[in-house]
Amino acid sequence: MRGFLKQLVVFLLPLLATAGALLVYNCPRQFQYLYLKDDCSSKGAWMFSRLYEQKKPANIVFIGTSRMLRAVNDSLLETRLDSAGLPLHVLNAGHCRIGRDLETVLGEDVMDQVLDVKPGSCIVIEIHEKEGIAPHPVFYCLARPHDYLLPESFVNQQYFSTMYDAGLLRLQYVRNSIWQPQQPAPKKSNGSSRFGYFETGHLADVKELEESAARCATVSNEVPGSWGNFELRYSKAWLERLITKAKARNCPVRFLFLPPYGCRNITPREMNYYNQFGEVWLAPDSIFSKKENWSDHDHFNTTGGRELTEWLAEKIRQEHKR
Amino acid sequence: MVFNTATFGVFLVLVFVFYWFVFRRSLRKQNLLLVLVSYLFYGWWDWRFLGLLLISSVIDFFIGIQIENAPTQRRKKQFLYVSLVVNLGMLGFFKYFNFFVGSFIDAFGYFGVTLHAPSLEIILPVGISFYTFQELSYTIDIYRGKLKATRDPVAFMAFVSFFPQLVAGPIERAANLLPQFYSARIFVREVAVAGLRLMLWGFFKKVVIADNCARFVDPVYGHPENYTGTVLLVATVLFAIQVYCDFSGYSDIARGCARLFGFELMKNFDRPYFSTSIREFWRRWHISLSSWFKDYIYFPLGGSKRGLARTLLNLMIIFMVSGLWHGAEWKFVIWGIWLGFFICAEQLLQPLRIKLPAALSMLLVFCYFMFALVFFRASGLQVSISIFHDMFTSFSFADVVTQFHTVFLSLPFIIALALLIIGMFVIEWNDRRILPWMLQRGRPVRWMVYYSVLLVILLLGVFDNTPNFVYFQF
Repeated sequence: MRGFLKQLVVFLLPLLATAGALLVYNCPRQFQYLYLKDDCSSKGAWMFSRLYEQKKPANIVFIGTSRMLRAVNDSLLETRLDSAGLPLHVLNAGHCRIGRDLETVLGEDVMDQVLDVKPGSCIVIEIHEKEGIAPHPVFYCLARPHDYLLPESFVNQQYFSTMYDAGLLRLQYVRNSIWQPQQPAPKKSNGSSRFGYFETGHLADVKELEESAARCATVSNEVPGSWGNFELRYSKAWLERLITKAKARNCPVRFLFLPPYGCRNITPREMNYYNQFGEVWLAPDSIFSKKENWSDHDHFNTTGGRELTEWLAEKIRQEHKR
Repeated sequence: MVFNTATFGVFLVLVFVFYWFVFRRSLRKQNLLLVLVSYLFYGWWDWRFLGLLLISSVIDFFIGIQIENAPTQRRKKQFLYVSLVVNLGMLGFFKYFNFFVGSFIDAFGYFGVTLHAPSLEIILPVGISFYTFQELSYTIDIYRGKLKATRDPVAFMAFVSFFPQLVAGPIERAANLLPQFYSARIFVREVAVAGLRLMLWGFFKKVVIADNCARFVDPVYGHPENYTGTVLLVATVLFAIQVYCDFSGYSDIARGCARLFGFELMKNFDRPYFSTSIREFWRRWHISLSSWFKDYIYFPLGGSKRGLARTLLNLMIIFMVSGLWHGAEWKFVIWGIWLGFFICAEQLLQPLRIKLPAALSMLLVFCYFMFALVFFRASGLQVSISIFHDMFTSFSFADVVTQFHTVFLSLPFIIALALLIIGMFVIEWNDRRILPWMLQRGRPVRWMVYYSVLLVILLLGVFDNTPNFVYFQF
């Protein structure tokens, strides 16, 4: 038995070394963005184009989930600010599904590539009724080795599967390099626009909205216990990393509360925590309570997006005055 | 839990460590561990079906004893009937309820009578057809006096639920597997190495060949109306390769895995595509199921000893039952009829003693099975018929080239895959020479071979959105 195990370990050593090498390998950023899975109509490809190819500066950046993606019309906001005498470039860098890890990695890329800090600049981070605890399902696609190997990841509930998937992604890159050296990675649509806003004119089903409101009515605002706090460590660690980086760039941070339909009256559970780092923007209930503003219970449609954007323009203008 | 996942890798390592290091001195504890981990393995899909597995095991354990203890043949038969009713009843309910109710309603609808039946959303428990047949062989063999009923419930439960072969076979006979649970396990290095080698070969067949073939086959069979006949034909050839590599790959992994724990499972495939007759093919394809049907249905019906007409009828019966075993759909019944029809035709032609070149015979047998797979793979009977129609009426080789390029993106990849498929068949054809040759070489040569297979798996294997094993649906 001992001989068998010894031989097996020796045999597996090169494989383990290969796996280790793959895990610490930094594959090209383009590949990572293009292979973001289920990415809200090729948002990954667009983000790469926006950050690494267009390289146009952004002064106000919105970071969050698909709620943000459909709530903030960055093109309209830029026009409104411009007409108010604030020539600031706006970027909606929302990405579908929840996970602070991916938001942070994306946010860091935004800061490194296109963020231009000047008066009126800020980073606006989406917040919900409760802070999520799970990693983003496709975090591994965008993560660099230090993102999934270093401290923030130690409280990742899916630490091993993230590493496994990240390893597979890198293996896929190696395979592509061998089998398709001449061909670029598949090019996706939506590469030329400077704005990330995702527009939809669809009107939500009233019954769906009422069900969402009923669910909100039962959401309790209890303080998480010690286990709950431990679970929150993962999201908070990433959020703090993003905020630290923003502060290092002298860029103020704001939080925008984007609840689903019927939840506007709930105070975000981690309100005090967010307030430590920056102001929490609470848009008026009138925007959230109009049924015709929603495309489904989670997302605004064009009308809702426009209303919220108009409010944001006014908010930013007033803040700039101060 | 599926073999080709990282979860299974961790599971296997942990079970191996506990089995050989923690419980090494106690056979009973080793068996108990196997039961627990097998239930964990099975419950990974859906824990709700664990009860089904447990209940059928407990019932058959006690029925086995009752059959053996029964004072009269009549009483033994009564207990056997209980076992048949319980096992086939569960199988029938979970697998065939909706099929028979639906067919019944359709039949009445044909005569203008509209019936409404309760709609039950029955989920098919994974592997139920496999472990039910395994348990039936146990009680039937006791009834026939070929086997002693076990008094060891843990060994029996381990026999029924043994995780390497629980969900897709081989369907073991109690006479072969059960005694292995009574005997002390001794770790034999050569056996374990042979097990790992078999697993590696199984993974190669599954992850590299079967899953890459599936990348071509799945979209084509998903929307056959969008493709020309030539593409459909190529997809069918590739599906024949896929289903073989998928299922025999699974069996190889199962057998290799069992060897790591000191068990020897029966061989389920013996190079079936090199058969020169249909009868030979069925002696080499899914051997554990074919032999089950032969022993428990074909021979009791009289086999080939009651004249030609009865032989042909018996053959048709077992192939129709085999079709139904595969799935509760009419397409599987037609599939069984197709397979049975041609084996009957071969039986009828036997007196003519037609001698064909071996290569031509192999090709004909392959075509016989490959075309049958159209029924097996298509989404329904109507679709199968339209695939057959298109296959022989619309030709376009350019479409095949385009489809290959669309799926695999790169010509070097396609060439490498084609060479690997050919290489796999060449190796299997010559395995009785190649394996001993390799084993006689020194460790560096052997390890180079293993590393090469691993490298091929890494560079060509499908890891992302891996298709499940084809036979898991049964």
